[in-house]
Amino acid sequence: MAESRGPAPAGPPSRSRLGRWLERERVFRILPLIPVQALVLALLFVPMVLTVYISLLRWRITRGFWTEAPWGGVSNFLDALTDEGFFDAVGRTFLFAGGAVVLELALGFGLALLTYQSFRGRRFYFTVFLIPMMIIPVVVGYDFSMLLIDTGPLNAVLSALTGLDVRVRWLSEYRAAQVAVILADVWQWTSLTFLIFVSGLAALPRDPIKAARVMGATRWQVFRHVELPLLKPVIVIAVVIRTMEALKIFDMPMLLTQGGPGNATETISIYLWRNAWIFNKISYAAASSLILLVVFTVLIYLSIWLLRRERRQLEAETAR
Amino acid sequence: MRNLGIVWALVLAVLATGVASAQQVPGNTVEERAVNGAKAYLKKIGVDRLEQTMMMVSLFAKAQPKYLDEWEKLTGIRIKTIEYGYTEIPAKIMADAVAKTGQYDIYNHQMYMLPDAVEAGAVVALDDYAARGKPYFDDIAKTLRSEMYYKGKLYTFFTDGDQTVLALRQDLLDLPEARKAFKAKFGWEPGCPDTWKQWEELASFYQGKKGDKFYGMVLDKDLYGAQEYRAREFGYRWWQGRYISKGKLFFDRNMKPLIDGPEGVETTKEQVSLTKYMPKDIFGWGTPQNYPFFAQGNSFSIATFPSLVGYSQNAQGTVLKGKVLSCIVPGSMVGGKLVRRSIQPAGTNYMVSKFSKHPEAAYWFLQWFTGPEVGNRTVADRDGFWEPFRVGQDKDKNIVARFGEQFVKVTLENAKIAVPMIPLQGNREYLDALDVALQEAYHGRISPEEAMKRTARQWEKITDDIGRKKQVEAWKYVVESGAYFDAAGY
Repeated sequence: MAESRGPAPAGPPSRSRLGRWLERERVFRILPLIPVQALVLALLFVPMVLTVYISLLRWRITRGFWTEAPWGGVSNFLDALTDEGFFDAVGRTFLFAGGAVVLELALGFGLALLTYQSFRGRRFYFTVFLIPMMIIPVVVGYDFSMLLIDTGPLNAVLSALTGLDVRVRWLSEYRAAQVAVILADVWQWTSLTFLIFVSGLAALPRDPIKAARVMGATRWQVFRHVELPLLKPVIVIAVVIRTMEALKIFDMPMLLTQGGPGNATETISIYLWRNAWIFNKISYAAASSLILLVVFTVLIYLSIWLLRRERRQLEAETAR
Repeated sequence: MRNLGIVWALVLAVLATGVASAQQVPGNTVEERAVNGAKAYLKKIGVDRLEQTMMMVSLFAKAQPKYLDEWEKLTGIRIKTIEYGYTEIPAKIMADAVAKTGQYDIYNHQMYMLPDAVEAGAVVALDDYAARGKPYFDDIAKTLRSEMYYKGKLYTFFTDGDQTVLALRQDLLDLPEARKAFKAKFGWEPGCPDTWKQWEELASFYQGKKGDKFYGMVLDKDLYGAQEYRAREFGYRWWQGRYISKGKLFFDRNMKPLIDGPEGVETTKEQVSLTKYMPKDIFGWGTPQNYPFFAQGNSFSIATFPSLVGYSQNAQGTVLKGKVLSCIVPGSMVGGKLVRRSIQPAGTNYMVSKFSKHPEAAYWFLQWFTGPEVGNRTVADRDGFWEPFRVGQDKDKNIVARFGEQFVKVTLENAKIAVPMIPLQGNREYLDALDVALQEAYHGRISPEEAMKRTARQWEKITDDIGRKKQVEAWKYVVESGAYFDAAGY
């Protein structure tokens, strides 16, 4: 035991009681954590508690300060759970996230496989593929709104390629607008999945691949039975990161269509934003966001469970 | 005793007159009184100079600074601006109402923002200042003037009449063969339509495909019969003017929605029907797309903001210089009488922040800037987007030079019949519910009847959530102020 309750050992006579207390191992261990905990408390716990409390009020900004708002109990939660608009927005968000993430994974993986091989100009392509991720989303949104106007370059290119007068109304037709939002997201965030996959491929252990080649496996067999299983944890990471981000999608539909036409591209983030800051229904928005928090937390835990399972399987296979 | 009473009454009268004259700021014009009021205020607080901040719509970044410089020269009060897009400003004002930063002294936005800003406690009533400054509102149409008030109190000044206008292609109307054929088909001379039905008749006639022969000319591109906003955030604005022209209010005295009645359904049907004469792309178009499309000669008619007319005259690439006929908005026949109503879809306004350290100084700027003389200068300003609305602005040479006499006369007629967009707390929410349902109807996903039913259901919910009693009281003020003339249902 570092601590002693007996008479203090002879030490430098100038040391104060505070100094001695600070030198205790338990205190020293805990002390650095205090600012971090305080920060967590201030940044996460307090707003969280406040959000829960506000969600139980009937506060609109037009009803004065939140301290004056009447108590609403679970009425906001019930309102959200019986509101078609809420569920439609959640459904659309999953549609966008699903569509975008699948495409981003496929394209990112394909591009990673291309640049993974050594060839002339590889570094150039590598850089080019990473650029979209570094552009500010507002700029991407603006550029896409220009590209996608009915008389714009995308329709012109499609017309030239097909020989037909292609006039897809990317921003004013229900389905086309949804596709446009997914396209813009895919263009920007394929870079990220590309980067994750390139890192994953570069970190693959060489020995199992060499062993498979020595045993006469074809390139496809090596990829299918060795590289792909080894990459599974990386794929799961890419899926988790991109899905979590894609579920929060706000900027692209906002910039391209403001959630329209109708509410074809109104994602849950836009829905919450509208309710909180356009309709001033802060309590309702708080309750809706808490419902989403529960849904997303379950999803995250499922993903983490999946990731751990993949890792365990991989470790077991490697051990064998 | 009787004599003593008379003496007391005289003393009180003299005192009251003295107090009143001490309170009223001297000056022969609205602007002079504003400048004097501002100077007196600075003297009262013991400073020579003052700096204030305006949250400003970015559209005015070019035009506004010259007036702010002038105000500073006149009074010593410098107003700096922080610009935002007009779609961002409501959220910024609401955030300021919560945070109470005091960062802004003046909010510049649009008329419909007022009820929420008042209920959020973000803006101050201006009646006391106005009692001393004596601004002049008698040359503003009654319904537009009603938008400056909320529950009977004055909260905002404006210097922009944004009441809608219908514009037609005069060059096409002048085609003699077309005129003859049109009259033979519809029984009236083509020109500004009196009714919405007549506008659709015009739209159905003046249209064709590229290469078609059109009464003595060959169309060098597709010609569409009409343009009216159909995109999210826009379409619902035009719906309201058309609906009110059918003589019905939005709510009854208990805030029960009336829009799911025959008038609301008919309005939606008319809008859906007219859409077939518009370019398909209209569903995604705001002003930046609608204006050039019309100015480049692609369509015959457009119902829009009044600035379209000036745009068609001056914009780069316009082919319609001198070829646009401005019209009073069409109307509906109600009980054998033609009723026309022009919606006020925007209208740039100015409010004083409740968190301003010097609300009085901010007020004096508002009175000066929107006064009849400076206000006329702003409307005539080619850098600005302020449109005519005051009676007599058709006599102002600069305004006429900027917009053209025919337009100014027409837009002032439209100002007389302008009505506001539901001036109640939560209007964005009411209007968004209408907007979403209309979008579904425009796209043919639901029927006009269903669209109106859905909207009415949503409106009931919104009213209950905000507080029916409160809304009933506010709606009473609106209706009794004559904001919707004599529309029925209350």
